[in-house]
Amino acid sequence: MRLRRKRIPRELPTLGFLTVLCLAFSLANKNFATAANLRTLGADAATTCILAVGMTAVILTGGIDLSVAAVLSLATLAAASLMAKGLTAQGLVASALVGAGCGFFNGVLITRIFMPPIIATLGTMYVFQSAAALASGGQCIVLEHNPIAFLGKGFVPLLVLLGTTLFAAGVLQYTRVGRYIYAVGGCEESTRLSGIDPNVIKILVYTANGLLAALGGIVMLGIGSTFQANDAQGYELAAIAAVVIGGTSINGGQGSVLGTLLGIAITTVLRNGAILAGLEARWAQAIVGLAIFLAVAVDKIRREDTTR
Amino acid sequence: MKRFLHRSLSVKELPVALLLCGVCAYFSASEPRFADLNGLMDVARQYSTHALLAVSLTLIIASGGIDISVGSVVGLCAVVLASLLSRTNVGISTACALSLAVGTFCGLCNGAAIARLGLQPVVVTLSMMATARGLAYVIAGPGVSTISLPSRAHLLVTIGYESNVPVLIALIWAAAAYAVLSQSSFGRYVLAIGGNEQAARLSGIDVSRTKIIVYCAAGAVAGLGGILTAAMMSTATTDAGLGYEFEAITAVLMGGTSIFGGEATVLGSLLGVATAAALNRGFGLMGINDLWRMMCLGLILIGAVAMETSRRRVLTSLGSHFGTP
Repeated sequence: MRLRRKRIPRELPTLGFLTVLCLAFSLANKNFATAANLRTLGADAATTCILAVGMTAVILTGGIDLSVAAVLSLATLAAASLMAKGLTAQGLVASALVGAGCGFFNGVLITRIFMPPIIATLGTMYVFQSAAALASGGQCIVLEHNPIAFLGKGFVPLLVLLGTTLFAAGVLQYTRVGRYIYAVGGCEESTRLSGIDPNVIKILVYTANGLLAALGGIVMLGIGSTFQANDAQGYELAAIAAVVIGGTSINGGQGSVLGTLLGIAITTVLRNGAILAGLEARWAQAIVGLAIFLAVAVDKIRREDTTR
Repeated sequence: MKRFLHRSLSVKELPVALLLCGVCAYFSASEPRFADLNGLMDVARQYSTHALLAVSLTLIIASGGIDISVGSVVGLCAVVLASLLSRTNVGISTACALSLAVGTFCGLCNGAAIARLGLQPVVVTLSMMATARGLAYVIAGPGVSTISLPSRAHLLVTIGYESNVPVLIALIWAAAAYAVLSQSSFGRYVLAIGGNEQAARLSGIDVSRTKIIVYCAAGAVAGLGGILTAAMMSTATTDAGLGYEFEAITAVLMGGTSIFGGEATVLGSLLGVATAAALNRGFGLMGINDLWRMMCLGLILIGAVAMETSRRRVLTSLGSHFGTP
């Protein structure tokens, strides 16, 4: 019985739910299943999906990162202000450095000072967000000649989204570091005893998460051509929601980036479909909140099922 | 020397007391208006909601949990109160009671999910944070972000804005929590659960009942905070209470309550809230951008927890000579 259950992929129920959701919306509104709407969905989801990919790795190690949206703001402001002066390459490098630096700082707080991830990143969230708002003076940076506008054209956001997801899925599934990430989340003590330093893996994961936040910000800048410090407010919640809805266990060690992709698809389709169906956008946050709870409860029940 | 080190490291409130003195001394030296009694009472009134939340969070963190939804629950309860008063003709006391009930229900949901279903406090309260804030938007209605209290609620506004009742309420809740933590068996249960949940369960403590009561109390008190916030501003905004959980958690942790549970100090949490309030007033008077204050609080939070982890390590290494505190 246990073996047979193991063969059912964790993502199957989520995929089923997504299919039903898409079918229902396509039947209810003929504007839903169109190429134009798919482009809109891709642009809507690109940034949160990239954040969610990084968050998946963080949650797989048993951690959490509340500061990603703040890191995104800080990194993207650095990029936008340099790009406004015509320094495109420097802007990209600065954004990557800021993102990786902030992520590294989180990792150090968590592994070297032994802070619980939620508290460490709650603190850095406010530090980074205030720093971003102070540095920009609350001003909106507008790129009149956006050198990365191609990132926002047509299906490009969707391709970037899929590319990042597949790359991360490959790393997690087929590389040594990827397997170590699962190992750290599964049982940190046995990982240490097998000669792998969990702290190195964790610092790596938080740094990668910061780097992905920077990438998410670049995509956002490509699509919007403008950036303001509080543009990404609440994105960390959307990312965590997608990861948890996608079936990744909040206790770490179990889950996948493909599940997260499904989670992103569900939250995006729900929001988009609800608006197309005439429901108001203000329901979105309450629905996302309830969805997080349901997903965690389902995960708990499933774990009790398999350990029985 | 070792004994002295051990003693001073065991006084949990010492760092926050020093910090508060330092902050106050700095601001009164550089800004003569800082020490004005009326102004200080004003900021105390403003921070009474934070104090209420910080005291409930002290209990929750002592039990080894965390609640990041309290700020959103404050917002939800404020919006519920304001829309009941301005859109229906229920009485003030009924509206307050309903608003308190909403807060208690949010706390009950948190507690039940954590204690009965065994889910992680972080995610449960994260989900409540999004849900309660979302419900506040839904109740406020499309495009509405501010609901004013009608003139018939002037009694509430007078109490909240002109009297010292909010401060008094916060102090009463703090005294109650202090008494419960140090004098009652329930308080010892809370600390025991935070120290070692498995051991607490094996010694016959009803862990899930204790936890549910603690989260319920936090929800009810957040409801009270919502009423006070609405009364103080004579309006409720859908953003009411945004970030309060951050200031309250920072106050609790800089006060000396251990993030790992099992140790708590209500007095320390109050001193922490006072420090946050002093920063607010000082920065406000000196005309410094509020963002600097948020950044300071973030750094204090990180510093406080870093200090706690190193304090624990030093105490453990000294513990073999002098016994654990």
